[in-house]
Amino acid sequence: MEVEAADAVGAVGAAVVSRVQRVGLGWRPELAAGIFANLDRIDVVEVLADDYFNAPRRERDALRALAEQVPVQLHGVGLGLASACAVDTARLDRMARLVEHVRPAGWSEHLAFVRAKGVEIGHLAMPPRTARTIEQTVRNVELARTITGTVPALENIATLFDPPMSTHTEADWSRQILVASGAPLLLDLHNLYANAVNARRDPLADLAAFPLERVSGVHLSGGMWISHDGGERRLLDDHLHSPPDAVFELLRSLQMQTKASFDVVLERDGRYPKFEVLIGELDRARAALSPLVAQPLRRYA
Amino acid sequence: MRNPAQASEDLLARLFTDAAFRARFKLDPKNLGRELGLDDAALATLEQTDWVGLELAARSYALKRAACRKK
Repeated sequence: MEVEAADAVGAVGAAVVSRVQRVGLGWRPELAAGIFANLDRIDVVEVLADDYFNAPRRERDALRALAEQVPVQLHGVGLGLASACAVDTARLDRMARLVEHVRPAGWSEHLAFVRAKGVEIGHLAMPPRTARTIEQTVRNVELARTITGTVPALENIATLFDPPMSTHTEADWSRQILVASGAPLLLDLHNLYANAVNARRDPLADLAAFPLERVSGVHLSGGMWISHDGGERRLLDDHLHSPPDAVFELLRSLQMQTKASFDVVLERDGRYPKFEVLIGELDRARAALSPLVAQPLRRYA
Repeated sequence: MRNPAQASEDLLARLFTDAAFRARFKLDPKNLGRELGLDDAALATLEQTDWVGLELAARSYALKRAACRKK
């Protein structure tokens, strides 16, 4: 069920370059039965690595068995690679052991820090985007490559708070890290969309500013609008809602702007709809990747 | 000794997790930033702190930490 797509630019010209793109789902225990029942419609599964670091052997063996049936991507959330501080090698060792055991198609982490001076933030946070964080993040990624044997794909995060003390735009900061470290980009389109609309920027312009030639993976998810004291609203990326139309538009735009092959993974962390709804969203992603869909891009900013 | 870039992350982590510290910071961001070791360039940007975004982010992180504790 993989999409073999003609490059959109090539499709209108003489040369057509084919590429294979896989569309799949984030693994959650609540979705396991649906995933196994629909493996003919799911090309790739992404698994949260941190859930398995301390898991019993039988669970890690089950994960390896899953990886023998369908391509598995391991996805980390706790390393804090994007930081002015050195990454904890004990955490990298745990990732390396899991990679060695599962032998996934690849692994990824976020362009985020998650702790500082002993304070655990509890989730992904964007550090000040400076030359110093670029420099140390590149060192952290190089260490991750040395210890695990593979360079991780790096994912852009959603942030409700754009850190002061930043000297670079998110796209430029990300580009410099990716180019210097040789890491591929795991582009989360809802994160990009949320950051853009929260800052009143055009999401399509933000998309074009990222190094799209480095995209190896895409995340699709949804969110909800929240406000502080009933005042100004912000879009929260919560993985509890379906991706909005704008995210599929961004996927279509991405497909038209890069020749890269990439996996597309739908993320859903709760308030699970019927599995058919998720399958329908995967079909929608496949349609967005299809060169047959040749409508003008709509702007949602 | 933390360098100024690390001090910036220390500051953000405390702002995201400590409501009392956040309230103190709002009253006088520059002085508190200086105490924590931020350099002049970083201090100059604190006036543009997005207070709405900060409160919403702090609330979101608190919910995430609470959900983790439940697991």
